[in-house]
Amino acid sequence: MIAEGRIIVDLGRPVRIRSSRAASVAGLLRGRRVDEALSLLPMLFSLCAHAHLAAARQATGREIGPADGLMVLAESAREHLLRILLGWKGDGAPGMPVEPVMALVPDMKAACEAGCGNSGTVTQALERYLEEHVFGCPPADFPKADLARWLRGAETAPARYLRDVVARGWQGAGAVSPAFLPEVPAGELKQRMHEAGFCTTPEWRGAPRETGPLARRCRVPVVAAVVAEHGAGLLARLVARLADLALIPGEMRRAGMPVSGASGLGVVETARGRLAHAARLEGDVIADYAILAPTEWNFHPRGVAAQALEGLTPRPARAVIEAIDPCVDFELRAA
Amino acid sequence: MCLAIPARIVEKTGGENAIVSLDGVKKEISLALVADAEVGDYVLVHVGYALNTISPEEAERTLSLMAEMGLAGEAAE
Repeated sequence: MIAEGRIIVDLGRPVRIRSSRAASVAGLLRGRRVDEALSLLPMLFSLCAHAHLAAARQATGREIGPADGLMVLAESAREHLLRILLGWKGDGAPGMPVEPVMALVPDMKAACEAGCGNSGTVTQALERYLEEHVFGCPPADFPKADLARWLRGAETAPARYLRDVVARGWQGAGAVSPAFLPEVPAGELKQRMHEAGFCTTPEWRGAPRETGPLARRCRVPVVAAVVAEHGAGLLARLVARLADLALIPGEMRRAGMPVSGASGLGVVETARGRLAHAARLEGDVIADYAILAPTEWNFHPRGVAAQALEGLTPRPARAVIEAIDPCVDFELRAA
Repeated sequence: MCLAIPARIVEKTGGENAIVSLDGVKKEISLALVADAEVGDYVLVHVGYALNTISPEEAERTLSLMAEMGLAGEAAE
């Protein structure tokens, strides 16, 4: 049967992480024309279709416009919200409505197709949802919020989950010395991505690196304050996800562009971290193709997840894995 | 890489759950994220959740691509 692949975590000493994540797309795309490849990728990667499509368009030299940025941002908001909706279960009180979350990407697509000027209504709807169901305050206020005060006051499902984490004393669970993936030179990244093995167990300057909301938002005040108090652990990761989500409506308004790159390389900041596509073309035909997804950085055998899980028991371990957020299913095996 | 795999709903099992068939293998999943999926529909499944419904043609095309990619026969251990 077709399997989506998964990550297997053995909570031994040392923690062992293996991935049965499958298959390179290079073999599938090699020899195809660029337009055909661009039509196939979103079918395969339907979860983050717009992020993959934007990375692929950039990598193959196609034009990238404001609509690409808006779609990636809408998809990131949905992925954050799904992670929160499905994973952040605190005291069993009523959760958050699903329908507006699942409508976000199709609504943004419809708005962009009618001209990007129409994205404002979708941004407003997202902002209202975030205020009512996630933050209990205007989302733009959260990045500067005093977390302790926010936790006392907010009556939302995510706030209840964070209070539950605090009540269990898990704030610093899985704290690591951060080794964030820095800005990397495009030419060097592109070259490494075409090397065998790099995209399955990537390292930068000799070490595995972390990518994702904490790496991206570690300087946002509410995140920096948690890291200073409890380290780069569970609470910091959860708050970083919230901060990243809170900043999305503003980025949509500013037409912030989460896509960058160079000739032959497309890089996109997604909910789970940095996604990169590298393409080598011969004329309009793909000669070689490589995809480097955030999960490969974060679930590298010696990466942030392996370090964070060292010494944890299964319950906090599960919460830490979900906070790092692999894009495939995982199986946790107790020592 | 975040693949979502097409599967056909063969039975709704009450609540928000359903049995889907994927290459003849049956698996229980949640329909909590798709409001209007019915028996016979194809849905994209990711980590035990149906994400959205797709047409049978899209499903067939995606499955054959995934097979070509070498995902078929992948032992999930």
